Amino acid sequence: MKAPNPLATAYVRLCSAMAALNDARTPRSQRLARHLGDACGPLRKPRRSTTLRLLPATLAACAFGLLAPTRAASGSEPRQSPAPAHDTAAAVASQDNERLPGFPGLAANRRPSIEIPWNRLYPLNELYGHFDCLAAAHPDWFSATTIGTSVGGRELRVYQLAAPQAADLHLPAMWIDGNVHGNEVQGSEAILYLAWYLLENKDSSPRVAELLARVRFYLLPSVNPDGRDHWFYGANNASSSRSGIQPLDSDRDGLFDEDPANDLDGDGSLTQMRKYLPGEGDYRLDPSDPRRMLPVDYQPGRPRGDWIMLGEEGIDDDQDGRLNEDGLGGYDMNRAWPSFWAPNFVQFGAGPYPLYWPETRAIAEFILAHPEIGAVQSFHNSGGMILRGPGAEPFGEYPDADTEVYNALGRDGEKMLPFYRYMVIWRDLYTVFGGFVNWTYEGLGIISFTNEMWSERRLSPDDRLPDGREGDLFFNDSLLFGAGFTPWQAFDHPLYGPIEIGGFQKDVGRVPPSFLLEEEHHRNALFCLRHAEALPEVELKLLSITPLPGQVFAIDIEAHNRRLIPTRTSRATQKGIGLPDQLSLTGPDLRILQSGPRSDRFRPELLTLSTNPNPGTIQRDEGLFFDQPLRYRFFVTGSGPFQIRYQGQKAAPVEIDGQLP
Amino acid sequence: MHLRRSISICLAPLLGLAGPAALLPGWGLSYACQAVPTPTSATAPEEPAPGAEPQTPAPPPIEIDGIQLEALLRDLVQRHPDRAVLSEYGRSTGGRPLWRLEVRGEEAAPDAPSILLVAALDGWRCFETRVALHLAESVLSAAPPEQPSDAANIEAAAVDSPLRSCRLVIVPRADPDGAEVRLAGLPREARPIPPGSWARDGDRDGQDVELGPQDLDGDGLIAWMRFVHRDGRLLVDEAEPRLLRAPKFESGESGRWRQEAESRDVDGDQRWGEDPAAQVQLGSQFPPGWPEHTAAAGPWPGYLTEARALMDLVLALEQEQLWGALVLDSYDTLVEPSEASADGRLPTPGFLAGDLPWAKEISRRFQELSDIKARPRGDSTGRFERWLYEQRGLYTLAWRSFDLQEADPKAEEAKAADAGVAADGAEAPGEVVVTAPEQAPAAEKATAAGAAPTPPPAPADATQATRPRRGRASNSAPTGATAGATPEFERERRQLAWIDSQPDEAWRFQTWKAFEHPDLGPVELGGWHPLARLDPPAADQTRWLEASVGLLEDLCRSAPRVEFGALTAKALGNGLYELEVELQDTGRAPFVSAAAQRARTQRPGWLTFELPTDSTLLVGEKVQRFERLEGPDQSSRHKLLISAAAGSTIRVRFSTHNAGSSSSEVTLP
Repeated sequence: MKAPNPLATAYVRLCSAMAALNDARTPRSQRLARHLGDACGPLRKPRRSTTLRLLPATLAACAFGLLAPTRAASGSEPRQSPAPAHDTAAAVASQDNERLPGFPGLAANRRPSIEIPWNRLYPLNELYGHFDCLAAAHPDWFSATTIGTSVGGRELRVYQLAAPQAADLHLPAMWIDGNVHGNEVQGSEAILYLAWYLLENKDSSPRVAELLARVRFYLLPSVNPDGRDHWFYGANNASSSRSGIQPLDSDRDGLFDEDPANDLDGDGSLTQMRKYLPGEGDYRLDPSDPRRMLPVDYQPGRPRGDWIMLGEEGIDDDQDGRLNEDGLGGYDMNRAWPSFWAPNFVQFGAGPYPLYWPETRAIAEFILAHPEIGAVQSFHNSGGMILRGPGAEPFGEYPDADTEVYNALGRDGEKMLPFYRYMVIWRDLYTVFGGFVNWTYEGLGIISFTNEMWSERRLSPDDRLPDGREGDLFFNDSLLFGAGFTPWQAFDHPLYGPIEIGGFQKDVGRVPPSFLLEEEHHRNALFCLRHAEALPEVELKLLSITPLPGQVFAIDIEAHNRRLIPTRTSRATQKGIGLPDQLSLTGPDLRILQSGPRSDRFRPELLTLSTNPNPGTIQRDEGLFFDQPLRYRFFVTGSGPFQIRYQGQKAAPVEIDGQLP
Repeated sequence: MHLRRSISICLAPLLGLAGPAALLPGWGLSYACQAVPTPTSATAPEEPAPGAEPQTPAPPPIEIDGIQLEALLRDLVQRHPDRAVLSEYGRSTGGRPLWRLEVRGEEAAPDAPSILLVAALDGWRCFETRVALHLAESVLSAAPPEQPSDAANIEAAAVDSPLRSCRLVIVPRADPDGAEVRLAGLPREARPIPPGSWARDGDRDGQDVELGPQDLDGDGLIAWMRFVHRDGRLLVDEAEPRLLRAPKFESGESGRWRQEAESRDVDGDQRWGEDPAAQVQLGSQFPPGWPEHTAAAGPWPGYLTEARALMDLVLALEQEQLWGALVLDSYDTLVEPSEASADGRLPTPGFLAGDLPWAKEISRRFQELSDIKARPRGDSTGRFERWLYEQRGLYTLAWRSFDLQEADPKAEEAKAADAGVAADGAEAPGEVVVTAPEQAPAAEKATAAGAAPTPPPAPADATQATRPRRGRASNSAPTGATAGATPEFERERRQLAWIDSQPDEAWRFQTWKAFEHPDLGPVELGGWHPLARLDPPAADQTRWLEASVGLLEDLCRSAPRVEFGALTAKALGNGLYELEVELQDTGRAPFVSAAAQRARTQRPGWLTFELPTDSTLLVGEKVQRFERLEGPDQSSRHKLLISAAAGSTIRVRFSTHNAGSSSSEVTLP
C-alpha cells in the first residue's frame, strides 16, 4: 500500500464537510466562504484539468467544516446532523493503481473512489452532502440546480448527470425522483446510489460510458424535503410524516395542526397505546410473547379480551375531546398532479387544485420545460411493487403499443427485484387520482414507473419466519438485537388513565434494516438503468441513390429505433403531445421535388406522397417504434453533397451524409 | 391605432349609459381618464357618401380600459371610504393588477357573510365589468326604505333592500390582459403569454410562434374569410347565403367552401392562422372537467397566473365568511339549473339534489323579473364557477349576462315583406325567393364555371347584400333548415333573423366583401363580428343591468342564516339543571350546502356554553359542533346537564363561518 496521498486526504475532508456546506445560507457563512476561497486551489482533484463547478470558496469552507446548518425559511427548524464520515483509507486506496477499476457490483479487490456508507439513511443535509461530494469529484459530469423551494424553505435540488461531451447536445433524458411522501425515504438513497454507481463506473464500463453519452439523468432526491426532515428529526412511526408541512385545518375547527400525535414516552418514535380493561377488550396478550396483541373476535357467550388499543401516542392537545385529529400537514403530494385529478373529497390529499403546493409546481414546470424527458421513475415505499397507470379505472386502458413497452420493462423489473410485482395501480393496488406517474404518462406521454421499495418478504425469503407480528418480533430479537421495538411501558394518560405505550420504531416496517439497504439500492438503481437504456436511439441508413429520368434521383433512407421505447409513445401521438419527429434532407445544390414514407420494401413506387409544402421535411407524429424500421424516399434533382437528419424530442438527433453524382 | 388622450369627461356617457343618475348613481363626476377608442369607431356611423362602400354600424361604446377601471374603483372607494375597500389579489400574465373590491351595504357588518362576484373571466366580455361596477354602486347606494308618514299605513311600508345588508367581494375584471387586447383592436391571441411558455407552437411544426388571425383588409377588424377550396366541405345556404352549412349528401350536394379566421398561411401548410401566440383560455383553466390536451386548457389547471390567483383568492375568502358566488361568464347555470348526475365517483356539472331547489327558486324569480328565458348553458369544461360549487361547496350561480337574441326567420321575413310592400310595392306577396345561382357568392360562381374564383361585385347596399330577399311564399321552412343544417347553423340563422329585425344591429354580422388574398386569391371577408355575441345592444343594457340588481338582491335574500330557537333551563331538583338549546336554520338555503357537505370544505358551526365558575358539568360538552341542520324543521337540539346555583346565568353562543354568529343567555330558575 502506498502512502496516503495528501491531496486525496484533503479531498476526503472536503467531502466530509459537504453536508455542512448545504447549511451555508447565512450571510456570515457566505462571507466566510468567500474569505476562504483562495485556499481552495490545491484541493482540486488532480486528475482533471477542468475547474470545479462548485464555488471554490464553498469547497474550502466545506473542507474546514466551518459552516452552519441549514436554516429553513419557515416551518420546522432543521437540526444539524453530523457530516457523512468518509473513510480516509478508502479514499487513499482509490488512488491505488493496483485495484481493479470501477465498482460495477463485483466486490473483490474493488474500492470505489468515493466511499458512501450504504447501510444508512440520511437526513436531507447529509443526503445533499453526498450528492455534492459526487458533484465536486465529477464537476463536468454532475451538477445541481435548485428548481424551487419547499413550503418550509428547503431547496428542491435536481442533479443532472451526463457525459461532458454531451453537455450541449440534445439527449433523451430520464427523470428520477423519490421521497414525495416524507416517510418514504429510501428512494433518495437509491437515487444517490444510481449517481454514484454511474460515476464510479463511467471510466471502466463501456456500457455505462455509452449510456451517459446518450442519456441525460435528472435526479431529484427528495420531492418533500420538509417531510423527510420531519420524519428523521421528529417523533414518527413508519407511516407518519407522509404529508408536507403546510398547515391544514384537518378537523375543520378553524385551527391548524393544533392536535398532532405526541411522543409521550420520549423514545423518538410514535408507538402505540394500549389499556388493560379486563373482560371488556378486543385483544388479549399472546401468552408466549406478551408484547404481541392477539385480536379477540366478539361472539355472544364467549369471553372478550382484556385489552383495547388506543392508537398512536397522543393527548388531546386542543381539548376538543378528540386525540391526534389535526397533525402536521395532512395532504398528499402524490395526488396533486393534473391528469385525472380529483377533488379532495374524492381523492384524499389532493388539495384545492392540481399543483397547489410549491414542490409539485416547481417539478411540473421543470419537466414541462424539458420535453426531452422520455422516461420517469418515482420511488416510494413499501410493498415491493413496480407500478404503472392508469391510476383509476374510468381512465380506460393505455394504448397497446405503450402497454407492450411497459410490460417488457415491468417484467424485467420483476426479475431484477425479488418479491417485487409489476402491477397496474388501480387494478392491482388501489385507485389513485392525480398521481405523479399518471400525469407524466397520461399528460406528457412518458413511460413512467413508481417503485414501492422494500418487501417485508425479504426478511424471510424462504418463508421460514412466521407471518405477521410474530415473525417481525423474532426478526427484531434475533437480527436487530431488540433495537426495533420499544417495550411496553406504563404511562399515566391524562384522558385514559393508566395505559401502556410501546411498539415498533419508525424505521421498522417500511424501510429495510441497515444490512439489507445496499442490495435494495442497487437493484432499484439498476432497474432505472434498464429503463434508461431503453430510451430511443435512432439509426439512419442511406439505402440507395437511384437515378431516374430527367436528372432526378431517388434517395432511399431507412430510419430505425434500436431501443425499446418509441421516439413518441402512442399516447403522445393520440393526444398530440409534444412535437412530431422530423426527417429532413438538405443539400446546398439540391432541390427536393417530393418525398414520403414507403409502404412496401420491395416496391419503391408505393409511397405516401408528402402534403407538406416543403417536401424536404417529413413529419412523423407516430414516431419510431423498436425494431420497426421505416423507409423513406426523396425525389431530388441537383448534385453534390447532402445531409439527412432525424430528430425527435425524445431522441438524440442523428445525421448521415451522402453525395449525388 | 390605439389612441390615448387625457380628458375630463363624464364617465357615464362614456360608458354609453342613458343617464348617470339612473344607472351609475354617483358616477356623474368628472374624471381625468383616458379614452381608448377601438379600431371600430365607437361613434355613430356617418351616412355613407353616394356610391361609397357600405359602412357597417359600429358597436356601442361599453369599453373601459385598465386605467379607467382603476379610476372608477378608486373613486368609488373615495366616496365610500368606510364601506369600500380596494386591493390587488395578484397580477396578470401581462403584469396588470387584478382588482378585488369589497363593498358592503349600510347595514352590513365588516365581517358579515359575503358573496363573491367575478366578472370578465374572458376580458373581451367588457359588459360584465360594467355589470360588476353597477352592482358595486347599487350596494353602496342602497337607501333605507321610506318611512310611511301615516302610522296607520305602516303595512304599506317599503321593504328594506337586501343590498343594505349585503357584503360583496367583487373581481370586476379577472382577465385584464384580454380586455386590453380587445381595446387595442388586436386579436384575442395577441394577449401576453407566460414566460417560458408551453404553448408557443400550437400547430406542432417545430417553429415558434407564427401568425394567428390578422386584419388583412385593414378595416380594423379581424373577422372571417370564406373561399372555395379543394378541401372545402361546406356550401352556401340557399335560404341564408350569409351562412355556410354542411351539404345534404343524400340530395347529391357536396361542399366546396371553407371558412377560416381572417388570416394567412404563412408557413405554407394549408392551414390559416393556426399558430397564434396565446391560446390558453382563462375560462378553461380550472379543475372541474378540465379539457386536458386542448390548446385552451394549458398544461394544467391554474397554469395562467390569473387562474391561480383567483383560486387562491377564494381560498382566502373562505376564511372570511364567504357563502356564495355569482360568476358572470359564457357558461350559465342560472336560467336553467340542472341536477348533477349521481353516477360515478367524480362530480359532474349541475346542482346536487339538496341544492337544486335553491337554484331553481332563484332561477324562477330571475326569469319573472328579467324576462330572460332559457338558453344554452355553454361549455362547462374547466369552468371557475364549477370549481366554486362542486369543489369548494359555495352556493354559486353562473350567469351569461348577455346572449345574442334570436328570432323566427319566418316571422321576420314576413315582416320584411310587409314593410317592402308598404314601402315601394316592389315585392309582391307570393314572390319567389331569389334562388341559388343568383345568390351564390361570386367566388363560387366563378369556380363552378371552371375559372378561378373572382370577387363578387361590391353590393350597392349592405342590406341587399346581406339579407335574402323573400316574399311571403317563403313562409314555409327554408330548405336549409331541414337538412344539412346543424343546431348551431339553425341558431345562427335565428340570430341573423333577429339582427335583421333590429334597426342598429347589422354591425354584428359583417357584410361579406370580396378580397384578393395574398395566398388564396379571391376570397370573401366578413361574417360574425368578434363582439357580436359579447356586447348587448345599447337599448337593452339598462334591462340587463336592472336584471343584475334584481338577481343580486335575490341572492342576498337567500343567504344562509342560523338563529337561536328555544333556550331553556329545566330545574331537576337538588341544583341539577338540564339546559337545552335549539338552533334553527332559517335561511332560504341550508347553511351548509349539499356540495359543501360532500366536499367537506366548510367548517361546521360551533356552539359554546359559558358556565359559571362554581358550576359542574355532569353530562355533555361545553363546546359542540353542528353540521347541516336536517329534518323537517331544519333545527338541532343540544343538551347539557349541570349542577349549579339557582339564579346563575348561562351564556350560550354559536358561530358559523357563513351564516352569522349570535349569543343568548338564560338564568337558572
